Amino acid sequence: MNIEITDLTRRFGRTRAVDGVDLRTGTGVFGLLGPNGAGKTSLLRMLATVIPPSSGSMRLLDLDPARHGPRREIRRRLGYLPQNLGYYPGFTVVEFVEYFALLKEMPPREVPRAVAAAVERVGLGDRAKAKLRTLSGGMLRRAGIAQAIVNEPRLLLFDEPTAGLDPEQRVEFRSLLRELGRTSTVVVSTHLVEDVGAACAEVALMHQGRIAFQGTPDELVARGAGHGTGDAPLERGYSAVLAAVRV
Amino acid sequence: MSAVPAPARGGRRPLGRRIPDVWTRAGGRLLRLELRRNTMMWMVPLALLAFWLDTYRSSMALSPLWSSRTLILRQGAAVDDFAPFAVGAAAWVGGRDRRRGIVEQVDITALPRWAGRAATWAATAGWALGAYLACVGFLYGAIAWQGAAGSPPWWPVVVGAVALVACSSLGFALGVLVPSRFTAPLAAVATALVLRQTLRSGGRYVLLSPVASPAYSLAPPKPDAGVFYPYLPDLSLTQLLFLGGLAVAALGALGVQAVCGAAGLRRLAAAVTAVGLASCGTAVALIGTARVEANGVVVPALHDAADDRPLTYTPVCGGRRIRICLHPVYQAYLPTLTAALDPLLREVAGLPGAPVRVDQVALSGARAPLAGADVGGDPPVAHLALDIGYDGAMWMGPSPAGQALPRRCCTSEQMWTSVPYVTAEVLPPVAGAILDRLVGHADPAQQAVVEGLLRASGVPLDSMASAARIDGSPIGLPQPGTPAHAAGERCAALSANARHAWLTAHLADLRGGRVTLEQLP
Repeated sequence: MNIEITDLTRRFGRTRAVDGVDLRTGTGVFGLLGPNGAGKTSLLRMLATVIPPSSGSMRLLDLDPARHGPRREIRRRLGYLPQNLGYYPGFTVVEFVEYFALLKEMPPREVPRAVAAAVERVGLGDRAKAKLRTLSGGMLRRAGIAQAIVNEPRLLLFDEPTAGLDPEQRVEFRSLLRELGRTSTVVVSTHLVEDVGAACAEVALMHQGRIAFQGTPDELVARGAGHGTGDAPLERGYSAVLAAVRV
Repeated sequence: MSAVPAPARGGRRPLGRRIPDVWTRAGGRLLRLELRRNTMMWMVPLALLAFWLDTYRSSMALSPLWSSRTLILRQGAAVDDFAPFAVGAAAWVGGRDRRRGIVEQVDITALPRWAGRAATWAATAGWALGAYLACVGFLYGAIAWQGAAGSPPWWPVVVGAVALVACSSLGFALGVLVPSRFTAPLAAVATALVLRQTLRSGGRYVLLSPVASPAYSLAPPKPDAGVFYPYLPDLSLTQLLFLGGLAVAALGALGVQAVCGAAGLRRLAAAVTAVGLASCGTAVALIGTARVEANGVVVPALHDAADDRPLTYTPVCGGRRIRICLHPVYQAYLPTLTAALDPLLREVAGLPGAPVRVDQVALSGARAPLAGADVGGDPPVAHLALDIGYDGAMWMGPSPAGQALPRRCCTSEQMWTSVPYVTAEVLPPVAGAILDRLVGHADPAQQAVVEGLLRASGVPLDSMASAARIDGSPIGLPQPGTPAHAAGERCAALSANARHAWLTAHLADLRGGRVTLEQLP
């Protein structure tokens, strides 16, 4: 298992953003769904070792992120795309990705090749020398994805990765997700259920800091049969689960 | 996005075996990346302009001597030019991550944040340092190319370089801790103001600042340092301890702030901070023991007694009746000095008690006036101290255009190669010292003879500058309209031979106060 969390809780003052979450997942694409404020981003930030949990246990890539040495090793094998991507406007795409490759302690000799591959994989090869300040929102998102995958991570965490991407790019991104999921654990937090349906092998639905549903997309679809509201089967499942937990 | 085959996984070596890569080649690549996109790069043209307008032009207007032309630099002008830009750029770069909202992304990378910040800081400091060294190199090259006499001082260059490193560290730390967009401009302005304030303070501990004011500092850089005595490195070493300590402490503090959870790294960062602070404390303690001596600042714990030994040299001499001997560095000014002093020396040559030679000596420390003299020894020798580095900015004498009080009369080179200027500046103190010893100044007859000799020697007594120099000397002049004044004018009107003959016959009595005004020729 690449992610093993038990009774994981994160409090911000009196608010329990994540409340006793249990989760185990291995290689593959894992979707994290839920309404605003459900705790998806907080959970993702804990998985990314940005913030420590308030309580509970967590093992990532069979290592304990609470200890410095293992945490550093996890970070070497981690890719993270936050919801709000920060970037240096004066850097070019290649420089930005190279910068993160070096910060992730990639072997320097491998960096140029890995950077070129990551930039190509997100379809920014023709804008590789462009400064980030000149890119559109969608292109910036792709540059963010490139910096996340440049080190060929074993654990990839994407927070709203398809925000700002046009439909064609979203289709390509889902293809990339499936490809990455063959060798890595990819956790995708999103509002867009069609992304989950297209790319994820497993999905969890969070509500008020807890996991209200965990299963395959097909199982989520089944929950919505004849119950939920929505245009697509997954949306109906999503609505049905939320409606059930709100009762 | 396309499914391009991923590169083969590699380099998954154990942590311990990867560290050398991280700290060497990866560090080099990071530094190169940061150097390419560093804000200080855009500040360099402004700093160069400030250097050219302030340090370079002022320096090159001084006499073509290493001691003179580096005087402005030794006062820290170049640091003054670069420091605000270095601090501002470093503060801007230091606050970059938080301003750009990239903190989370970089904080969760494997490379310790301290190391990442060190690369960013090093690039900023590197640009500042590189530009500073290029400017100083250009200045030194220009001075050397023009064949300046003497030897270049290196300690001030090192102090300036370390000062800029310290400024970058402090600015960077400030930017990290207060990552507002206003931090950088405020820090730059504050640096400029602090340096200005430093210039106006004359306290002992202000000596730790790389910027020194010729007017206020306890020990302003000597215009003839490195000529008669070696450059004293004591103050520079203390400044290096202080500034280096500041730089190290600031960087260490960043490490303490940046490192989360890594006890070893945090201990290392704390130790680095402690070393920096200890270095600063040591420098403060050392400067507390410093003495300001004629050749500069002596810090007993750092002082090498060998630096107190005068440098040996073979003087160059000129003059007809009494030899005027200068340090060979000042050889170019010998003709001017000879022309200015010869009339006086001709008057007194051969008289009992007259100096047998005029020797140039080191400046005693105070810069004003431009020349000082005294007579001592047996046989008597006149000692002449010259401030050749003076740039004429506040010269109060007549200007070529005839204005009474020019703001800036000339460059120091124009001044020291102009007989009228040297006559107005150097002749009065030399005459004062020699005539006071030879004639005295107690009674009207002595004052009258002194006035006569001064007039005969060409001292422009009617000029405000010359009168001020005479007023500053031990001798006194009779008031116009008095019998003594009239007697002085009579004395001056005599032929040189008649005056010399009379003085030879009556000097002993005149000096003993046994000659009255009526007995004067």
